[in-house]
Amino acid sequence: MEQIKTNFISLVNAQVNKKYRIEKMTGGSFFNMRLLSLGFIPGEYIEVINQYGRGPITVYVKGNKVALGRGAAAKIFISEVK
Amino acid sequence: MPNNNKNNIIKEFTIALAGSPNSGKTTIFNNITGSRQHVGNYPGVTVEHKTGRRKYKDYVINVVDLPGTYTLTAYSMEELVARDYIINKKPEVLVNVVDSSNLARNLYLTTQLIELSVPMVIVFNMADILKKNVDNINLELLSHLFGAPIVLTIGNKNEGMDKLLDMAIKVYERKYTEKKVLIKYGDEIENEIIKLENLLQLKSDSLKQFNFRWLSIKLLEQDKEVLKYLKNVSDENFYNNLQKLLNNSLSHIKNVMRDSPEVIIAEARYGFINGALKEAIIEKKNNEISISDRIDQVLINKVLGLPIFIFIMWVMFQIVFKLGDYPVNWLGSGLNKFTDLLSKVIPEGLLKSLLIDGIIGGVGGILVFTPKIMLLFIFIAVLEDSGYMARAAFIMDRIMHKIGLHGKSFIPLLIGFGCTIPAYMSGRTLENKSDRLITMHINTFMSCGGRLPIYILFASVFFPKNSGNVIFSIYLIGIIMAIAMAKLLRATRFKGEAEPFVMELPPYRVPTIKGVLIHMWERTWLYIKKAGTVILALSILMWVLFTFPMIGNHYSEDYNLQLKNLNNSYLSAKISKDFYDSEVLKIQKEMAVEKIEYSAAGRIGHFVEPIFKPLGFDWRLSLSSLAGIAGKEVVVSTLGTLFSITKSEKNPVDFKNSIAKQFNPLIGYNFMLFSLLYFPCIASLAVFKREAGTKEMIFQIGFTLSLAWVVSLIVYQIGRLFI
Repeated sequence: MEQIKTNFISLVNAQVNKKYRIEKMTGGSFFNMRLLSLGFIPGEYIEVINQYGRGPITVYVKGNKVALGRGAAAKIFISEVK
Repeated sequence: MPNNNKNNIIKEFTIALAGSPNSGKTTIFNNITGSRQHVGNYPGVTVEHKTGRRKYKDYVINVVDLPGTYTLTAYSMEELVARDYIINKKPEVLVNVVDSSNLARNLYLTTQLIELSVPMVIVFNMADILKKNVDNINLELLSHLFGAPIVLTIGNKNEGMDKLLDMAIKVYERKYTEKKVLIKYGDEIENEIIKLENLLQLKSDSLKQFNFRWLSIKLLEQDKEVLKYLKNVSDENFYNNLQKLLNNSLSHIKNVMRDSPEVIIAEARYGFINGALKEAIIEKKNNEISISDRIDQVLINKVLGLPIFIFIMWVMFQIVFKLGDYPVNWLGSGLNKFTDLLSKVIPEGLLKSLLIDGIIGGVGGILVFTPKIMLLFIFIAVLEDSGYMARAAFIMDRIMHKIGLHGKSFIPLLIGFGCTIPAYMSGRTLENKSDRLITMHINTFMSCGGRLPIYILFASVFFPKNSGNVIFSIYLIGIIMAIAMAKLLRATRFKGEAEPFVMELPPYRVPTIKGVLIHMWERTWLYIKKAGTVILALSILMWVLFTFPMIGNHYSEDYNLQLKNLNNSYLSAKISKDFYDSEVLKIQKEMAVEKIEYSAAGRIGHFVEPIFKPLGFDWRLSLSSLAGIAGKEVVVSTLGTLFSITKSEKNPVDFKNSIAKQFNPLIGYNFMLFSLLYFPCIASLAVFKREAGTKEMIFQIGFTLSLAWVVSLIVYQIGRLFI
């Protein structure tokens, strides 16, 4: 298991309406390919629009609105952009 | 005129439309081909294959609508089908439809398509939105950068179609050429690509259709299908070498770049797009919240989202089932009139019985439901085309996740309340096979429209005061069963997590009437086709079973003599008219019952009775359940034949009375339960087989039958202790 730097947080823990940057995607290549095609890519800005209770979250990435389940979101690591 | 000869030669070529699911690709396809479309399936998979033709100027253009994909990986069946088509069929011109309201993301597919080295036209669709978003766009430069001409269209306004076709012809005639563009992935990756290309070169004979650079990139992206394909076409030695080289490349890249190759490749592609867009486009500054976002603030609101969704579903069911009643009733009465007319014209005999009881009774009974099916499909098409369906999956994901399913499972399950066949078909949106199969297997328990007549009959006979609640309880039990079985299947046959939920929420759009109608018709046609084939065949089979062997004069008593005597008594005024009528009816009933008992169906009913006895069902209920395999609507009509009998005197009250006399509420309820739990009908099984394969279909039969039997057994045996 790769070490994830401590100042990176998982997308699950992101707060609504704050701006983040994608740092690391830790899913397998199969899953990554899906995310990449939707515009998730290291270095890209990401914004959480909506946290639907303890269910999926919606984010803005590359001008697109995407819904992610918590399992999927847990595999994406981000850092806050101040 | 000799000098015109050249222009009169009609040339034919094929264009294939590729693009992401919300790019408006299908609208463009509809615009170009109009109603001259053909929908089929790609061989072996359940991905729709849409083709159409268009005569334009001196050309006949065949148009293929490839499935909508975000990328050309092996992530889903759709993506595989799309890329296999491009590679193997090599359309003369590839038309890449791009949603130009979001170029940065949508051009990602374009970067992959240009690597397939097929002549291409890029279509910036929804150009009206593009013009709102940007101050200036240099199309010539962009065409140059991507190595393919770009045309602007507005699909939903049918604008730019001729420009698109003109450009396709130009490209086909090689009158427009751009220098081929290569996207560079950086030295580390490029080195590995060259190594792989060189190795693949050795096998160039069996890999003729491929571009080696593309193959090498796919290998670095660890594309399972490409690897599998190479394994199949090459000898062991070559494959081992390839794998060794690939593993070295992968670990080398991971070590040096500290990221997986697929991420680095994607970065290069997005980088390429960003660079190109920056050069060719001056964007407007705008921080306005889009209309879509405003709508979403309400529709997927934490508090309001679910109630609104439930309300929309409620409206849908009200419209489909209440409003749909009218056309269904009109059709029904029309069919009755037609039957009456037919019975007057055709002489008594087997042919008449086959036509009226067998074919019209069976197929007609299904076909009269068509308006409801159409309404349901119109609703679904509107929800899909407007972009709400993605939100519905989003809202339901949390709840569906708890039972081990995916947000997208919800829609098929919901449609299952209408008809299981379209429900199975809509399960295609689930990319993960386990998710899809579980959803299909439990869809049976979503009580379909065909079962409702059974509930209405038994609930009104045995629970006249609470029939509504009783029917509701059956639906509820179905839902509970679905949840329990989903968990059970997930824990046993389909282990593993539900697919991580990732789904694009496209901007809301106003659906076009044409698009909605075309979607509706495609699905409705499948339903009608099913009625015309599978159900027709089965109706005839059922009729044969109920008719042969014919009883002739094998009645237990000489009923004809009795009727004659009765008639004589009546004529000589020994008995009253009322008494005469009721006696005749009694005798006719007994004759009809004996006739059925003598027939193959009757014998089968008696034969299987021991199996159903522990559930409290006699041979008639057993037989009806068997007949229900043809379609649950048939259960009630079979009971009608078995209990009320004789066409001339079909008296519903009498029918209900005889059922009430024969059975008790426990058996009545149990029969509803049994009807709920076993698979919907033979036609649904045929669709199940097409969607999931023979093995899964056989499992579905065994699984639902045994579940229905066990549950009914428990209910009857325990219930008996209390009454």
